Amino acid sequence: MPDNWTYVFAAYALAAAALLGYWRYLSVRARTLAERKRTGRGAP
Amino acid sequence: MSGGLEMRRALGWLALVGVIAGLGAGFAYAPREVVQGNVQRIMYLHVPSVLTAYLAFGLVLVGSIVYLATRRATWDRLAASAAELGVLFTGITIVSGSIWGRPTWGTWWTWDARLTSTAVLFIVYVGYLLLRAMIEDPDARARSAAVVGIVGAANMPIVHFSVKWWRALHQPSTILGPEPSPISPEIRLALLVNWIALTLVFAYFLSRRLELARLEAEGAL
Repeated sequence: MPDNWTYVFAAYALAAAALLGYWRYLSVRARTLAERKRTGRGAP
Repeated sequence: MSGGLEMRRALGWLALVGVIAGLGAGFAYAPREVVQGNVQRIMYLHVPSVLTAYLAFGLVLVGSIVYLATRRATWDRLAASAAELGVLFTGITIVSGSIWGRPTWGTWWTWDARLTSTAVLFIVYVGYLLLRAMIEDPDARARSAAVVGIVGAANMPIVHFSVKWWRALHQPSTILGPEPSPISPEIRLALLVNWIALTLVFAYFLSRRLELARLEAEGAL
C-alpha cells in the first residue's frame, strides 16, 4: 500500500488545530474573566 | 504566583514535552507498518484520543453521580468541564478515523457498529453541553445534566465492545482487549507514549477549565 503521507499530515494537522483552538479559547475566556474582575463588572 | 497556577503551568510544560515525545515515538521510533505503510501512524493519534475521551466521559459519570448524592457544585463543574473535553477528543477520534479510513477502507465513513456508536457518543455529549447552555437556574441545570451524564455513559461500553458484539469493518480492540495484544512491542510502546501525552494534555486542559468554571461561578454569585 502507498504511504499516503497526505492523510497522515492532515489527521495530525487537524488534531493540532483543534487542541490549539481549545487552548486559545480557554486563554481568551480567562483573560475576559480577569478583565471583568479588574473593572468590577460581574457576569453578564 | 499561587501554587495552583505554578502547578498548572508545570503540567502544561509536561504535556508539551509529552506531545513532542509522542510525535518522536510515532514518527521516528515506531517502524513502518508492513501492510498499511506509514498511514498506520494515524493510530498514534486515533487510539490515544478515544482512550482520553473514555477518561473524560468516565469523569462526567463520576462527577454526575457524586453531584446527585452530595449536591456540591464542585462535582457539577468537574462533570461539565470533562464533558467539554470529551467532546473535543471524541471529535479528534472521529476525524482522524475518517481520514485513516479513506486510504485503508476506501471510504470516509461507513455505518459500521463502532463508527455509529462513537458518533452517537459524540452527539449525546454535544446534547449534554447544549442542555447546560439552555438552563439558567444552576441547580436545575446541574440536576438535569447529571442525569444525562449518567445515562450517556451507558454508551461507552457499547462503543468499546461494538467490534466484538457485531460484525464490523473496524478492527477489533488493539489494546484493552481480552486477548493478548497482536501488535509489536515498538508499536505498543509508541501507543503508550502517545496515550500518556494526550492524558497529560487532557489533565492540563481540565485543570484550566475547572479553574475557569470556579471563577465564573464566583462571578455569578
